[in-house]
Amino acid sequence: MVVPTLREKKRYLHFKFECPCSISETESREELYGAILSFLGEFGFSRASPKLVGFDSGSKSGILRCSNNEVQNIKAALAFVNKIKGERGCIRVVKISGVINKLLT
Amino acid sequence: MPDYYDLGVRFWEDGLEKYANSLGFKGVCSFSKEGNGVEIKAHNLNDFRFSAHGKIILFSSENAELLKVASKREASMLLFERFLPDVGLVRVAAENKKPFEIPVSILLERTGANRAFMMSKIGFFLKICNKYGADFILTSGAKNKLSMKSPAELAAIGEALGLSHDQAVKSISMIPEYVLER
Repeated sequence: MVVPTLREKKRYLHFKFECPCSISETESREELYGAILSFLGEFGFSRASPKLVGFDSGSKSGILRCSNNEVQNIKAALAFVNKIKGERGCIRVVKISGVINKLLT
Repeated sequence: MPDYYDLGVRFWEDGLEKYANSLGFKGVCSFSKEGNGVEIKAHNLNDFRFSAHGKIILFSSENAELLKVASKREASMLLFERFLPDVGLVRVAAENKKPFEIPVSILLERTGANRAFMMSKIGFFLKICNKYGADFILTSGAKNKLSMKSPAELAAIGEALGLSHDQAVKSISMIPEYVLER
């Protein structure tokens, strides 16, 4: 058990895929992690520690968790995506919060 | 909360302003036939003969000397496509209060090492701009709706290029507003 002062603060990003194609949770994870890895590199990826919390393939939106300090870099990494599954598309960050419940409401 | 503007859209279609508003922008400037901006790609001094009354004039060139001349004339914004750290050009632009356009699409079109080199170039160019007090405007440079970025995304990219959060926000709110008013 980690004491609260040592615990790393997290941020939750509500994102949405804007593309003509349909996308599953596995594919979305690959797209997200690939985008972050190509922009931040392995070292940056480890510092940002992104994790896909959930994804709804119907609305093509989901929630990504990352480190509080690296949230701007994650936003930039997602902004640089211009192709999804080989087709033209982008990932929009809809909202960011420190509490996951706020994104779900 | 400031008003955000995207002064570098390269296309026009119905509902563009509505879409930009949904992203969080108060206004856009489209450099297309139907839009409210004119982009002049200069290769020599003859390209300075133009008339664009009431429109925002973007002067783009790969030649720093031509951009120096443009900054003393009626250009609203400058685009130095090579992003070389030309101190003379940056000084002249700062004296004449002509902002440089930084289109994010230049980075989006590239991948891998090419994107990294261009980010490094633009980052150093912005550093020089800050040192000599020249203004700059972060724009999407979008050629379609999907390449348009929200203000938060543009600010995040600005921070990735080495700007502080305040500088990034200023470059998409205060400086574009000043250009539109002028």
